[in-house]
Amino acid sequence: MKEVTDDLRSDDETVGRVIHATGPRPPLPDDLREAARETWRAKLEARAGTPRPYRRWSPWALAAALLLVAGVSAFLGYRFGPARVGAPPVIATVEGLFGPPGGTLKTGDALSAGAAVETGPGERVALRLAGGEAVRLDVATRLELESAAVLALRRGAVYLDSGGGSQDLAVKTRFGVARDVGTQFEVRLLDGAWSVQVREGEVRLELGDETVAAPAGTTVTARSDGTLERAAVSAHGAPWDWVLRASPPFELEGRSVREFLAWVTRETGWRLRFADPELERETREIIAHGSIAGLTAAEAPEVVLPSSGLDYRTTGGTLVIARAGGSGN
Amino acid sequence: MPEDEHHHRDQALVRRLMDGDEAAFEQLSEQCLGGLWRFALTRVGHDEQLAREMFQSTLATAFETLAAYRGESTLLSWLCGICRFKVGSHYRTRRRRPREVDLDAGDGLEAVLGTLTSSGGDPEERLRRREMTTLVHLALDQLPERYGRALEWKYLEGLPVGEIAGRLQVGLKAAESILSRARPAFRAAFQKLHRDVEGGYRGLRLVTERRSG
Repeated sequence: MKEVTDDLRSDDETVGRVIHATGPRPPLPDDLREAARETWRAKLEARAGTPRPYRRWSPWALAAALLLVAGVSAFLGYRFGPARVGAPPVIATVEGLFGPPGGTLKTGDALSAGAAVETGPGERVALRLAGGEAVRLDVATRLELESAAVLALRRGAVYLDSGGGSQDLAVKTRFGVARDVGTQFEVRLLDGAWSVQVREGEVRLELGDETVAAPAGTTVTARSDGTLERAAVSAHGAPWDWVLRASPPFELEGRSVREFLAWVTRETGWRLRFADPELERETREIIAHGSIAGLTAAEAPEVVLPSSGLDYRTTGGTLVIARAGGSGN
Repeated sequence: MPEDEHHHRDQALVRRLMDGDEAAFEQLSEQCLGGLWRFALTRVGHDEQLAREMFQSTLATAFETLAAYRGESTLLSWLCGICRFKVGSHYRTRRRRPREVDLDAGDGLEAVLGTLTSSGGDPEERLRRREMTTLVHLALDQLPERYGRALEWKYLEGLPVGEIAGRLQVGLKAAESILSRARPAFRAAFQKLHRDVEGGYRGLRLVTERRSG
């Protein structure tokens, strides 16, 4: 009994002396507190959709919307027929906004035919078309949604992922039209040229009377003087970095690790390989709970996989999944 | 306050933050931001500039994803989890890791006490003292608020238990009980932090389960 009492006293004393020796906890610097307050307010405003001059409905789109409501636009009447009255049909929704907070667009906003979306420096937007295709706008881009199947790129760059199915989506530019054949690709306007960079599937470039095929792993640059350049492009890495940064968060809660891995590989362009074939089945049975909001698809494996008893490495564009602590070839 | 009540209190705080309640921000600042700041400092080896970057980046993500907070841990733990990830990501991008604290001996506290009270003045030793000091503060941050405050009142301010009882608005016996629970809780929190720092970056903890059948 005496020993126990002595131990307890000794324990009390050690704790007390350690706390005494270190002094009071230093406070948070005032400027950091104020910066935190500003960040909080900015996020609140972004969620409430406080007007900002960027990511705006363009005057063109506003005018088009007004004409629609009035039912007097020949263009829209042709598109949707005279019997359609009231709200124009929704052809896309906003899935994510990336960059400084603000702007009139909010996540979840519905966009109708005729809408235009603009991004400024440092801003990117993720849209989902009514047919399920993913659309991402890079910085300094203007994209007009003519219909659920035709997008007009006026400046900047846009990325499309039709999910592997052939949707016959078209991206129009002043130089020509890029039409997908079930694919992931980027269309970018350059100075006096445009480029189409294909990650998966194939894209057809319609250049006047001529049609040029751009298969996966190719970048085709078509110049206004009629010259054409072809170059190889990787399915992952730097050429697609901006797309990763404009990726809407994956809703992890209640999803299997296999679903998570499918998202990671779709977004990063990595191929997927399991060190042990049995692991593929196991990942279908591991259900994750939590959130990875704020992480890109390239960052998220480091968070999710260790908590699932899994290890991973990326090598030559392949994501190799192994058991934690295993050799994982 | 039992742990569950802390989580309920934190969930209520998060709801008020999402509603734009300025008083909620003050409460967050009082309750969590100092702890998050000290946590960030520890994770980046006391590089203040980098700690500021990580602190702000953590809050930018946290404020954007407040709805994802489910009260499964305290709000401070949740914020520290995000910060841990941000720091890991930062070092991973630069292909180097945060310098790890070497606490050197035993299970922590006794060895720490020796170092904290030593008079050695070489730069390495001063750095170790500073890191240990931060770990002790961090351990206090991790405790239920009244535990941390009671320990500070007793061992820093030297208040008698009666006065601590008054500040906590509880009876004498209850204050004694809080202090007697706070000490082992502090030791456990410190040892856990010690292990975490030794283990380096481990990423955000997510819970996974095996689907039956």
